[in-house]
Amino acid sequence: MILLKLLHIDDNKQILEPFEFYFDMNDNVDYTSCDDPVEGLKLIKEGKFDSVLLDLAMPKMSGYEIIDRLQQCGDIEKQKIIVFSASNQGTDEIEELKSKGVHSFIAKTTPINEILTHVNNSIGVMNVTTY
Amino acid sequence: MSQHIKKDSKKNQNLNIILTYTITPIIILSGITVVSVDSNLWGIQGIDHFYLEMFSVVLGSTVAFYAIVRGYTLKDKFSLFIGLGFFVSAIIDLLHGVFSTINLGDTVFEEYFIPQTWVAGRILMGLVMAIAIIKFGNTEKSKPKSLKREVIFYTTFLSVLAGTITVFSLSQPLPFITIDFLISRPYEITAAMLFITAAIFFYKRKLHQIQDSFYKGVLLVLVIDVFVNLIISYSSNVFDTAFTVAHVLKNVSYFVFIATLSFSTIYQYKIKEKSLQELKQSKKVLDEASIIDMTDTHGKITFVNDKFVEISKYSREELIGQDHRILKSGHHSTEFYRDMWGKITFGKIWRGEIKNKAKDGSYYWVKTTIIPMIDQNNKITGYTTVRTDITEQKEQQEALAKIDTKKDEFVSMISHELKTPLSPIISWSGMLQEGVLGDMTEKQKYGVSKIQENSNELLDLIHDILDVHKLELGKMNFKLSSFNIKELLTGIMEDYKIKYKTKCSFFLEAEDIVINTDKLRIVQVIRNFVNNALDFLPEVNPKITLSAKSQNEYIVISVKDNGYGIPLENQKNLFKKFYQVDTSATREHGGTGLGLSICSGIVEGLNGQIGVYSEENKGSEFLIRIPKNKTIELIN
Repeated sequence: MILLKLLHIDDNKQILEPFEFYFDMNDNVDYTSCDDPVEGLKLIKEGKFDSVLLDLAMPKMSGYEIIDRLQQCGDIEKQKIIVFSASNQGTDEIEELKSKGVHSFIAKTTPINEILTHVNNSIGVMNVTTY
Repeated sequence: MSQHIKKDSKKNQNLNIILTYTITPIIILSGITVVSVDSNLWGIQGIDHFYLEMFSVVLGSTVAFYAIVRGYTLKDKFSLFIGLGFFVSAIIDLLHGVFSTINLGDTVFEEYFIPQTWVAGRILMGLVMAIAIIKFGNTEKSKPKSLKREVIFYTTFLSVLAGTITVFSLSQPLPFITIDFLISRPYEITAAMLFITAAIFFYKRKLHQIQDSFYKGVLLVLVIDVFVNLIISYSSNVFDTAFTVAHVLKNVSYFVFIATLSFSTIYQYKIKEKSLQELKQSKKVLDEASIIDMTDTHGKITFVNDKFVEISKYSREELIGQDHRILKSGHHSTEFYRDMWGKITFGKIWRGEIKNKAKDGSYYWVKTTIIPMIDQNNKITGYTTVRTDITEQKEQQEALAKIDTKKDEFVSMISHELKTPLSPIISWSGMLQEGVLGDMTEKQKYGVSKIQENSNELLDLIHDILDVHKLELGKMNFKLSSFNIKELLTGIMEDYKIKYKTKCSFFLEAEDIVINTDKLRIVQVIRNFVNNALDFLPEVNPKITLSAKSQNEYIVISVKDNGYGIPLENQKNLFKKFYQVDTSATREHGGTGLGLSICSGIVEGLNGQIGVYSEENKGSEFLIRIPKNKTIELIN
C-alpha cells in the first residue's frame, strides 16, 4: 500500500482534532497537522508531503499568502495544494488560485471519508473539486 | 364616445365650410347670372373695359406678389405656383386690355380680339388653379429644400403655357356660335370646366379642412371664376351686361384672393408668434432646469448659462474661450472621451454621465446630452450641451454600493463562521457513525444519525442564504460545461434510489442529449424538485419520474410525482422567496421557503423558465426549460 503523506494546515485546533483521530487509525495516510501557518509554510518548503490541506482564513498568515510565497519560490507544484476552506470561493477566485498552482478545492463541511477520497485522487488526478 | 363627438364636430365643420364657401356663393352668383342675361341692363364703354382690365392687372399682380412671398416664406409650392400663375395671367390681362383700347372703335377687331384674349387668360387661370390643386394640393409633400429651381421651372412652364394658349386663341378664331339663345361663347364653358375640376380636386384633397384662410379664399375664387365664365358665355356682344358683370366678378375674385391672403398672413404671423412664445417659454424652462453651454467645432466654449456658472464655480469670463478640459475630473478614461468625440464629430447625439471638477476642487456629476449643431449644408457648426446635476443621485448610488459591499462581506463572514464549527460536528459524527471511534448501541447510532441529518440541513440552509444573497446582488456566476443530461439524471436518480428505495419508486424518461450549461446548478435545481416531491408523497404507490426532452433549441427537464398536489391559488406564489404552502405536510417537513425561489433565480440566470403543473391529490410536475447551449444563447 502506498503511504500518502498529508499535511493539514489550519489555525483552528477544533478542525484539526477529528482528523488527527481519524488518520491515527488509518495506516495508509501519514498525517501531519499544523495549527501555525508560518510553521506550515516551512514544512511545505521542506517538500516532504504529497498533498497539503490548506485553510485560507488564518490571521497570522493567510492561505493566500502561503500560496503566493510558494508560487514566488517555485515550490508550489512540488506537492498538491488543496484549498480546504469554510468560505465559498467565486469562480474568479478559483481561477486565480488555480493559475497560481493550487491543485483543487474542497469544502470544510465535507465528511472525512470523502475528503480522504479527494486527497487520494489528488495524487493521480488533476482538477478534482469536491463541495 | 369622445371619438364620436370628435367625428360629429368635424362633419359639422365641413358642412359649414361647404355652406359658406360653396353653396351660398353659388346661390348669390346664380341670382347675378339670371340678372346678367338681360343684355341691355348694364352696358359699358370700351374705355371702361380698359379700366376694368387695368384694375385686374393691378389686383392680379398683387395676388401674385402676395402668393409668391407666401410661397417663399412657407416653402409652399402650391402658393408659389398660383402666384406665378397670376403673374403670367396679369400679363395676358394687360395685353388684352391695352390692345383692345388701342383699337377702340374698330368693331371687327373688338368682336374678334377681345373675346379671344379674354378666354386665353381664363383658360390659363383655370389650368393654373387645376394644376396647383392636383399637383401641389398635398401639403405634406410639397416642401422643397430649395425654391430656386422650382421658381425657374414654374416660370418657364407657365410662360410657355401662356404663350401657347394666347397664340392658339389668336390664330384660331373662335366662332360666335349660338348653341341656343343663351350660350353665345361656348368656349368659355371649357374654362368653367377647368375651375369646376379644380374645385372637385380641392374637396378631394381635403384642402377645405385646412384652418388657414388662404385655402378658403382659393375655394371662393374657384366658385366665382366658374360663374365668371358661365356669365360671359351668355354675352352676345362685347360690352353688354353679361360681359360687364363677368369683368367685375373677375376683379371681385381677385379682391377676395387678396383679402384671404391678408387674413392668411395674419394667421401665419399668429402661429409664428405662438410658436416663438412657446420656444421662448421652453428655452426659459430649459434654462431654469439645465446646465447649458455651447461650443465651437473645436470644443471652445462660446456660451454658458447661469446654471453652468453656478455649478462650475467659474465666472462666465473664465469659461468663455476655454475648452471643457478646464472641468476635467480625471475620473474618465481617454477611451471615454474618444468615444464621445467619435460620436459627436459624426453629427450624432451623445448621451452619458460625466464627473466634473469645479473651480474650488469639488466634484459634481452631470447627466449630459451633447447635440451637434448642423447647418443647411450638413456641416457641423458647433455643439450644444444640456446637462442635469445628478451628484446627489450618484452619491446615493455610491453609498448603496458601499452598503452592498458591507452586506456581501457580512454574509460571507457569517457563512464562514457558521460553517467552521459545522466541520468538526460533521467530522466527529461521521467517525462515530462509521464506528471509527468504537461500537455504539442502536440508540446511540440513531442519535448520531439525527446529529448528521440536522448538520446537513443547517449546511443546506447556509448555502441557500448564500445563494439568495448572490441572486439578489446579481452576483451568481455560472460555470458552463457540456454534459449528457440522461447520464446526469441517471446519476441523481441512482443516489436517491440508494437512500429512498423503500420509500418511493423512481423512473427515468430522458432523451440522450448533450447540453452546455451549468451542471452543478442544474443538479441543485433537480435535487430541490426531488426533495420537495419526497416530502409530499402519497402513502400508496409513491413514485417520482425524472424526465428530459428536447424542444427545438431548448431542453425541458421535469420532476413529476403523484403526491398531494398544490392548490391552484398557491401555485403562483411557489417561486417567491420564503413562500410555503400552508399544509400539515409542510409543517411536518419544515423548510425555509427559499429552495424554489433559488431554483427560479438559477433558471433565469441560465436564460430559461421554470414552471409547475399540479392538481390536488393527483400530483405535481415541476419543470424547467433552458437553452441547450447557453453559450450561443448568450452571444445571441
